[in-house]
Amino acid sequence: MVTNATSQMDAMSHVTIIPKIIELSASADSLNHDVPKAKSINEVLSSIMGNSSSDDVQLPADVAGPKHNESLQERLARFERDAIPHLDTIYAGALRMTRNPADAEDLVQETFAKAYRAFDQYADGTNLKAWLFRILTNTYINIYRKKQRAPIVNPQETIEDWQMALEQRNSPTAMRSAETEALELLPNDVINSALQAVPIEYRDAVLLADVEGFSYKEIAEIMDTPVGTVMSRLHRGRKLLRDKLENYAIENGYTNQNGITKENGITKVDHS
Amino acid sequence: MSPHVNSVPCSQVQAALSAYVDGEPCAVEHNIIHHHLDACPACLAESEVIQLIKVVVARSCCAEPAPERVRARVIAQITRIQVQITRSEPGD
Repeated sequence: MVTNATSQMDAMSHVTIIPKIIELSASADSLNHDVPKAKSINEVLSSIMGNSSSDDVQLPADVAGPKHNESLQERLARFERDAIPHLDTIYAGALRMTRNPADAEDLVQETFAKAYRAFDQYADGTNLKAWLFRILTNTYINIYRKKQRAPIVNPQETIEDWQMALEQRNSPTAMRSAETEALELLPNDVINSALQAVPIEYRDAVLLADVEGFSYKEIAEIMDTPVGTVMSRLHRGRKLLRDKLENYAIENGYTNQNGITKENGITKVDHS
Repeated sequence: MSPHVNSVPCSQVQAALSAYVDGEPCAVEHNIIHHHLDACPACLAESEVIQLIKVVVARSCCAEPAPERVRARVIAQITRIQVQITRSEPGD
């Protein structure tokens, strides 16, 4: 009984299993031939342009110097690999400059278009983020200058200028602790508005240093100015920002709302 | 307040403070500024304000990622440029 039942089951299972194996091997076969792949720009273009040479796009990452012998496909692959990952950072920078998502999008698109056209001039190993910021800054300043009057900045600004300006400022030390307390309490939108009121060259220097963390040398390359000018722009930019924030805090009684008042430079805490 | 701590005038120190706080070379050597700040509360307070300005600027500019359509627009634009370049340089 038992033997008969087993052999019957064996026979039945063979009948059902064999077609399954055929099905599986057929689907495995099709997998090997038609694996769906995510397409890169390069592949999309190859299909549009009828160019099938998209296999040899991998470049060694350590090749330095301008890419005069690079094919368009290679340039595109390199751009996708190296430049596109900076898109979020460039967008954030553009948004800070324009304060308007629609303008920021246009600015980002223009920046990457210019970067791509010039990408054969960019040498691997140099700072790509700084290079992209330079294009972003120049593009923005060009648009800004077309739309509005150019910001008033003396190109001959020197360290001596701001040393003199600084010596004229003579705030009493007692102001300082009240000032730092008020500064810390100011909300982000107030700081952003104050930044917008700082002339563009100074503001850009401050943002590149304090938000993006670029060195003075990098900022000099981005803004196409000597390092000494970067130093003076940062110094002035921070001073202007500080004055605006101080004025805001005093004029809007901001410090009062938080129980801190300034009278004759002396901090008083209101416990009522 | 202390015009000549370590024989460097406060005005010179304060003119160099922005770069000093950034860790960048400046007109006055860093170790001279360092010693000056130890002895001069006015300049120390000034350096603290600069430090704080840096902090509030950084925190006011929180980065937000680019919307997906921005990436799509950039890629579409680069694709158009690539087609233009390819047509203008048939030898490539």
